Amino acid sequence: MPFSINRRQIILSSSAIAASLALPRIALASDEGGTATGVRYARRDQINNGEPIRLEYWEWSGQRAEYQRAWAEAYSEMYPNVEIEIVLQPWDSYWPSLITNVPAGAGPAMWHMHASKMVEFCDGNLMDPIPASVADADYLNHHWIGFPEGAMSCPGTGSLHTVPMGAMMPLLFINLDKWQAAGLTEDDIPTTWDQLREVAALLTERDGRNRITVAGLSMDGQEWLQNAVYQQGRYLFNADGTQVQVQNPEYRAALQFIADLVHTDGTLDNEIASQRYDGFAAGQSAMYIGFSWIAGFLRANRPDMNWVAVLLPTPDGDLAPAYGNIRFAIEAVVNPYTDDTTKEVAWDFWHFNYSRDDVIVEDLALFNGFLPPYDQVLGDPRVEGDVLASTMSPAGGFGIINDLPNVVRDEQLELVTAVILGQGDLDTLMADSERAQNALLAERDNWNIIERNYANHAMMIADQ
Amino acid sequence: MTSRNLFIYGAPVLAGGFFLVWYILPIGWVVGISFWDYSPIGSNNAPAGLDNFREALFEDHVFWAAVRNTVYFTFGNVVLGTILALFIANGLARLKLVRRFAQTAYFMPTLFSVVAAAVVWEEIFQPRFGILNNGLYYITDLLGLPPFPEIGWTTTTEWSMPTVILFGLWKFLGIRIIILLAAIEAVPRDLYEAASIEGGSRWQQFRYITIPMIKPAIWFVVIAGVINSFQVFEPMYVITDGGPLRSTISIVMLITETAFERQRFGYSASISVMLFLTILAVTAVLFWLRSRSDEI
Repeated sequence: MPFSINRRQIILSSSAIAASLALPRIALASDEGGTATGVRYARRDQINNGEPIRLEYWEWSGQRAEYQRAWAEAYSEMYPNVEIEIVLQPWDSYWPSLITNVPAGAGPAMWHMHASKMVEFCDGNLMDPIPASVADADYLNHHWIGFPEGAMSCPGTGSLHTVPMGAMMPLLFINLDKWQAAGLTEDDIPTTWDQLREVAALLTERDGRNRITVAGLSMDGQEWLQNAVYQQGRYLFNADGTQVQVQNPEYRAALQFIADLVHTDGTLDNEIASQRYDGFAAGQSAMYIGFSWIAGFLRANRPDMNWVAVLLPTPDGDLAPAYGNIRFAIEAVVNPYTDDTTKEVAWDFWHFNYSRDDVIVEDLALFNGFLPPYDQVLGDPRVEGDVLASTMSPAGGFGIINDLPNVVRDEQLELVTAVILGQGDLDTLMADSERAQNALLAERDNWNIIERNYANHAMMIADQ
Repeated sequence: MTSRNLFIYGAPVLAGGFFLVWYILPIGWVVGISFWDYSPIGSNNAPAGLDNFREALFEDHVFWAAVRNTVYFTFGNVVLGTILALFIANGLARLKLVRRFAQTAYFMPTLFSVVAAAVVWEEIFQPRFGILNNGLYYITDLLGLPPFPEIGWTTTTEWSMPTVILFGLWKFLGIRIIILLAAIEAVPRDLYEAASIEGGSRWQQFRYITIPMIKPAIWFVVIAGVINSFQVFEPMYVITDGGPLRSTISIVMLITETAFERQRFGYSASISVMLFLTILAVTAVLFWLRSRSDEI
């Protein structure tokens, strides 16, 4: 790395990672180390009476499947009668297969869950509640991010079915080769939206036909929109979480930023925007705004690429009133429709994994570009030494926890695409989008919108 | 019971059972849940009467976008595809030497998986970095012609559907050519010889002999094309994912999205029922037109 990425940490005089994440830290007795669920894992003499048993564990990411196989092997070493097969399913057929198979009693024993599907799976009782024998709800509530805010519980019932594997935040990814080729240095790292536009202009490359070959800045438009609106003190939903609020100056400013990049500055166009993070990985954009999981993608798929991630610029350079969204990735859930024996083994395997801090720190969090969501491992040298984790840490206290419903994400993406394609004036597009989003939200009573549980709620625009 | 009787009575029962389990029951189930607010993982399933149909027809603008797109695709794929196949088949019927090679070449895309082919097409049609735009630009540049502009084949609302139609033409042209070529070759040669002696031109022979004689095959290609086009899913799904701005979302894509992403299986079933009735009606009209054309 030619320069340190911690410049903004110094500027912001950040405190310790845990403090910045606003997590309550309760000291534990030293003999409780490795009990991340609040219930110590005890190895048994045998499981399932030593009878052979085979479990399926579904996953859609080949990258994660590698360490999951290692977990399965470690478990089988303890209990040779247990075989856990990691089955890769493509994302597109993953959810339809689960939705149709699980209620019919034919699904896998466990599967990797996605936060955006939690509400629907809660509705259908498609996840087995975490038994008290493997985790203590009170302990999770005190030591894991996401539980006190209500992000991990089912709406209505409040039941718990999984724990997060990591917390992710939006970052600005920079291609260092292109950065240096443009003559930029560490001092040029943008901290405001205006500076971001300026450096994007310097980084943009065109061919002989004046087409953009390297966009100065690209982004996941939906993620930009959500974070940019939060950064200005505006929530995305009304107070009771039943409707979106789109027609306001903050939302308009977030969209105008994209419109300016495309139609005024010429630093981004539709062709490159549609390539998203694949385009950044392929060198088609010099900077990219996206969530920190992209780091895991880049490490796995572009190990040769020279990149760095810094905090996302804000309108005026301050993290207050909010920096952006905090999202969770979650790990395994257990099939409630499988037989009791399989369930017992599945939960034991789950407990075994979460009893190992190495798994929580390395496999689940850092490997994937996440912050560990468990406060007792935040002081771990591996976490403190992780560049990505230390980059995110100053902004942790200004992150708004909320996972958007898919229907809202899709409509936001449509709105941004319409802006990029210049399909109408902003006010009309915003009005249309608000109508469309609200119509989709009306399909359910409770979407578990928890953005107003934000720790710095008082800093947000009042009476919105 | 003798084995002969077992066969006599068992075969129809087996066939009927198969038909019942794999056709009647699923169709009945779909029709049934189309009147329900239903999801297999929902906890509030309840009768909805005609609400699902009313919502689709009068409230859901995406439904009408999907209908427009599907009709657009059907029109482009069937009309252009049939005309193109007809002319190519007619040409091949006369080019004996290259016929076998050309037949194989045209039929080859039919053998590819739609998804695999669509993935390759997506790369070819990528506007900025794909080989189509860049190849055409370099050719025009080399020939000193005005430079070929960058067309947003898959990324603009104007071009996305024509691109998908183009894919459909390429993918399904071969089977149409094979059917029409077989029909053309079955036309008695003496009809052409007689026309030739009478001074009939190639075009007149095509217009007044070939087309009337292969009319059943043309109708088959049209009707099968309409039914398949109304149910189109993979090309849009892979090449454009229904976008940009839903300019290529098809009815079947909407059915899938509504069921598996929004968990509204009842609503999705109501769209399926409407699609089924539409295909039934359009096919009936086409058969009626066919019988009328036979009378003329």
